[in-house]
Amino acid sequence: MQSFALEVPTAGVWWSLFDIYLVLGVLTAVVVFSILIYNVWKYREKNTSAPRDNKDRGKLGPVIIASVTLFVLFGLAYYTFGAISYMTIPPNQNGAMQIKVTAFQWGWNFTYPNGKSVLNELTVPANTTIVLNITSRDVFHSFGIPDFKVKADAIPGRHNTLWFLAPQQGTFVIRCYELCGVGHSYMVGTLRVLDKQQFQQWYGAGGS
Amino acid sequence: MIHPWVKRWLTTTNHKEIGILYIVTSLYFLFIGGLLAELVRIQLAVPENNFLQPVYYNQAVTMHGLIMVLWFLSPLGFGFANYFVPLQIGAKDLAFPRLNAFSYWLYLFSGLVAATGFFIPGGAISGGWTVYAPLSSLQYSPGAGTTLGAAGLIMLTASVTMSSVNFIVTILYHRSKEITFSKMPIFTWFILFTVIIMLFAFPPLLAALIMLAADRLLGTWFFTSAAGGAILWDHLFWFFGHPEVYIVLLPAFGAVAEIISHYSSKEIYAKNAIILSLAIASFLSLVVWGHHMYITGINLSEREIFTVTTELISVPFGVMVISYIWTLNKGTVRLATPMLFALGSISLFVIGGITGVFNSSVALDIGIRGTYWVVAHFHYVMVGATLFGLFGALYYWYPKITGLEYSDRAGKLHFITSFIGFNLLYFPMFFLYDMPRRISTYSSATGWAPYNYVATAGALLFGIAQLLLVLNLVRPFVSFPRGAYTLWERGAGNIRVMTHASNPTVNENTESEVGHTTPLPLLLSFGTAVFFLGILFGIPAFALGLIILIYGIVRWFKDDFYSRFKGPEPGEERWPFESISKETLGMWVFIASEIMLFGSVISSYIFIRSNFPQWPSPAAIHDIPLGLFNTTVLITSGFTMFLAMINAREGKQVGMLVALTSTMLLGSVFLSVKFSEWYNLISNGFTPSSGLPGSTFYLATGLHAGHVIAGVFLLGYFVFKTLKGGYVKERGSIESFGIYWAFVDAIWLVLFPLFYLV
Ligand SMILES: [Cu+2]
Ligand SMILES: [Cu+2]
Repeated sequence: MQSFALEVPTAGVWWSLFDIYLVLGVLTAVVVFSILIYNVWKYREKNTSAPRDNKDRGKLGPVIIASVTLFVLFGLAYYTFGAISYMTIPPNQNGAMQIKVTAFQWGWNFTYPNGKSVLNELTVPANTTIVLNITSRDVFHSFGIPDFKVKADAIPGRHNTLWFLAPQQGTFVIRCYELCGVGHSYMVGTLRVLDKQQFQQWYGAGGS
Repeated sequence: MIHPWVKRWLTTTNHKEIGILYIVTSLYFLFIGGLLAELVRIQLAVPENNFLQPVYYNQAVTMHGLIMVLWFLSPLGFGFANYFVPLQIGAKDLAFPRLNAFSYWLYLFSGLVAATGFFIPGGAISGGWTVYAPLSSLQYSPGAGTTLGAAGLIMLTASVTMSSVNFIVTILYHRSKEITFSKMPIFTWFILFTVIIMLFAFPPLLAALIMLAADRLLGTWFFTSAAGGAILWDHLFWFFGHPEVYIVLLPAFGAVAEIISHYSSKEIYAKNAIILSLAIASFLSLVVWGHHMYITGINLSEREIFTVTTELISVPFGVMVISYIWTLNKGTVRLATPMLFALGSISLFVIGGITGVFNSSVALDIGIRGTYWVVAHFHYVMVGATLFGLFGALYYWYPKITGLEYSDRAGKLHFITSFIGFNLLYFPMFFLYDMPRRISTYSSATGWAPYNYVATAGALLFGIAQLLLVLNLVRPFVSFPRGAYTLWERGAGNIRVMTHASNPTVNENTESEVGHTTPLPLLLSFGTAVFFLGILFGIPAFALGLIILIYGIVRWFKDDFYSRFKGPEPGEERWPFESISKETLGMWVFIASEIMLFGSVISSYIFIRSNFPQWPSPAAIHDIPLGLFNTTVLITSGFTMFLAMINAREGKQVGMLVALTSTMLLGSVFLSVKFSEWYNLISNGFTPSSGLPGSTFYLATGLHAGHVIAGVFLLGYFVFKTLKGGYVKERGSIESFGIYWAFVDAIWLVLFPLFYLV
């Protein structure tokens, strides 16, 4: 898909998996629709030359379909499990930066290891594993950064984690993906990726 | 005086008439749900739109979802089931015609109660059709709309449970001689599995709704505390929510099978494989709910298991779809209106099904969860496969139900405009894979505007296209072209596609016969609605509702006492249930749903307790010796009830009377002890709202006590009727009650150790 997305590790893995599903899905749809259209056309009432016969030969067909489907699913599960382990377990645990995310009606609060606390703007250094520890102060929200294909529910009383890594500087959007009241549409935050020096400057400068 | 025509429709218990009532009512709800959908689409047509403010938008989105799934799709399917299942199996009516009428009226009033929310301050329920906690709590949704929504859903659950029992008993017990299982028509098979899923899926929802209502009305802590909270709701709701998809889809797919077979003049291909697939899919539907919770924080291995079970569902559905399509092979395919809708249903299901495999992947889910991709996917299933299938059924069976003919050309035009409108509406949503669901507006910087604009255009086209349906189906009533089934019969072909039972001449009870009408289902449903409107109007409405209910129940028992109402005779083919009574079979089926209900309550308790570190020791709260005494009392009543059953079987009236009276007395002792226990606990400050130990204790023991109270009242009635010389020959009711009482005892034997000992 987009070249940027492929440089983001989580999004890259996600899109490659999506492409596998897409290719197989489109292929399946094409085959099924072809069979459908062929039979509708060939055996239409007006086609007097078509052979007709009402014997139920339904013995082998279902077995074949079930086996093929099972085989394809086995492959899909294999790729999915690979992707999900990668997307769940953060690489480079020790060098990772841990940030607490607290969702509320309607916004996000980000708390850094040094106690710095920022509203609605998540600033992170590039090329660093970021681990977010996500919870909610009130209702069920869901924290997502669509360009990075990462998402985790923000649930009161629970802490969910996700990790991501930004390969380069830039600004991205953060959204809430679970209906959380009348402000749901406006629960939009910003992810700001700085290079490491810029980030150190910002990080050392105290709260904003 | 009420016009006889009106009176007939208000008091009927005839399965065909109830079927028609279901169909008409569900189409009314379709209209409401559709209007709400159009409002939503208009708001989203352009970025930063101000047509519908978020507070109204959220109500529209929520009620749209609830109405379409629960008050339109499923009831339309059950309209057809009511009408055609008895015909297909050669039964005179459903097993319990009065209960069937009761199901219908409760369904109608449940929808009205839920929709009442629109007219009150704060508006209707608005937290999404999934009613996620804790947004649904009093703190975050203070208006009465959410409580009314829960009340409507509770009524609907009662209706659905009665329907499930009714259909299962009908199909197992009322088949005519030649309808063995192997000859049962495919639509009936689909309905059988639908009601089986309903029986198991709805009780967890009921448990969740009772807890939600208690949280909101009594201040309990089920969904407002971290120990239960959002995750508990998720488990209970989705245990219901996923199977619900099949509950709405399967009746449509059953009808599609009939239509395809009919319009290709062939038996359905691989019928046995389809039925096996149906059974496998029904079972799998109950073990996949976790795929709605992939990112709630459940652990990785659980998520992987749910990925596998969910992916497996595509195997049975793949077999079904291919078998449907292969039915055309070597057939004579005629593209009449119903056939177009049936083929449309299958085609759209292929897209909905394949995209569903994407969603089943725990990894892909991270990206598409909560986005319009999911909205597109499930509308391809719910509208594409289901609504198109049900519309096919409507066209297919309309001539048979009404004896009138519609215009096939107008029907085809309806199909084509609907099909184009539908795809314009939903296909663009697959490209909105980043757009969150249920947002009421978005900025133009997102780039989502063009897709939304096309979707809205499609929605308007799709909506307008439905006028063709209305015109096409209403016009024949005005111009009276008596069709005499010609549309339906045309091309039945050279083979016997339908079973004999689909022959319109077999079951001629089109009018309600004398002695088969009763106003009580309507009255009881109305009373229930008035009772629940007490949420708005307080004690007077509660009291009035209660009075109506008591009056209705007394009248019902009077009807029973004088045997004023006779259900249909059992069918000749009822393997393997030849030797038990209809009531007993019905009770066993009902007990299955009860086990699910108590199972949900008990699982919730265990879930909450395991998440709550400082759970007080039961000995510190409860009087254990008193509890043991009460347990003994209830067990003893189980033995006396058993004696009553034996005496009933042997026709010994005196013995039966003594045993029934003892059971009733023991039940009353149990209740008195229970009430005094509650009284003491509450005076000591241990109340439903004092914390989770109180909330869970009163829920479980209260629900159980409610069952005992109902039992004691029934016993009182049995004693009365025995005194007056009833039950000399008939013993079905005593036997089925014996099962019920044994179940109530057994539940207590589970509850007692869980709450008093460990
Ligand atoms: Cu939100
Ligand atoms: Cu599901």
